[in-house]
Amino acid sequence: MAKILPARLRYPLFFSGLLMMEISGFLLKYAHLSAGYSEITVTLGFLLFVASVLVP
Amino acid sequence: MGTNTKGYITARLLPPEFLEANWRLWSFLLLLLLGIAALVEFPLAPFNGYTDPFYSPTVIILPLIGAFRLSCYAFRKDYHRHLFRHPENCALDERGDAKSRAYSGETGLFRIENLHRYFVYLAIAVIPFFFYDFLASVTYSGFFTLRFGSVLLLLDSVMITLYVFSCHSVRHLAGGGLKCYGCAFAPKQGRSISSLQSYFNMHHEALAWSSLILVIFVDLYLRALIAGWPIDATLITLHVVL
Repeated sequence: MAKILPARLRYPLFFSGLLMMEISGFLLKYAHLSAGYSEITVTLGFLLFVASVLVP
Repeated sequence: MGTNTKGYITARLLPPEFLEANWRLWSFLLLLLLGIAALVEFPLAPFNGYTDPFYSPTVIILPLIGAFRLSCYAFRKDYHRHLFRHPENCALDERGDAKSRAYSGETGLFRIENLHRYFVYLAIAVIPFFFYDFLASVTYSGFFTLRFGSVLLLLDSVMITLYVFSCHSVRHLAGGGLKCYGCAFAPKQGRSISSLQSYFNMHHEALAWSSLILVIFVDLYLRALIAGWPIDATLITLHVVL
């Protein structure tokens, strides 16, 4: 894989990205988070998840 | 539980990776449980001819597909390096910390990793459903209509196909009967199907991650469509009744 970011960032980015995507879904349903905020957090989470692949 | 039984479980069933204080392992299990809960809690019915790859053919088979991915050599490398942090690379069998120990390999629960060669058949069996979903999406209106979502579904299907057929277990199948690769005893190796498979196998890790990212992206794309995002452009319409 691409070696762009240092390896120590891989799991923290992977974890943060997926957690943001999952949590925002539950917050949307159970804590009445607005759809707009939910879409922003899911998008950010997905970008973090993709970035986690860019490390060795 | 007797001491012997407890000793047997810790020594033979649970590899040391599961007994060490490691926040990464438990946080990953939390992610996994949340992910499964989210897929069950927020199911996605077919929408405008699109079927979510997570729910194709059914969400019930996801544990088997998950087992295929978790036992995949590409993902194994990742979770041993970044989740268990041991071994941290191929040349470093012993971790250089206070709890230094040798790599435990495929022992205890990790023996399940050997079942990858059987999980691959399940993964192959699921592939036609993804292509069917693409076909259903382009014929949804009665005419041939290629929308951006259909292109994503096709790309997703192709990436998953390449990922599955570049698998190391398929490499064993495709190269069956060969005791030696690239030597004088296997003169047909250079132009055989196994050499083509070997080419894709070199990119197996990239294909594994790309296909996983695409599956998640298609899922989010379809959820965005349902939420009313006007992003699904029609690319080609052929007025041919299908």
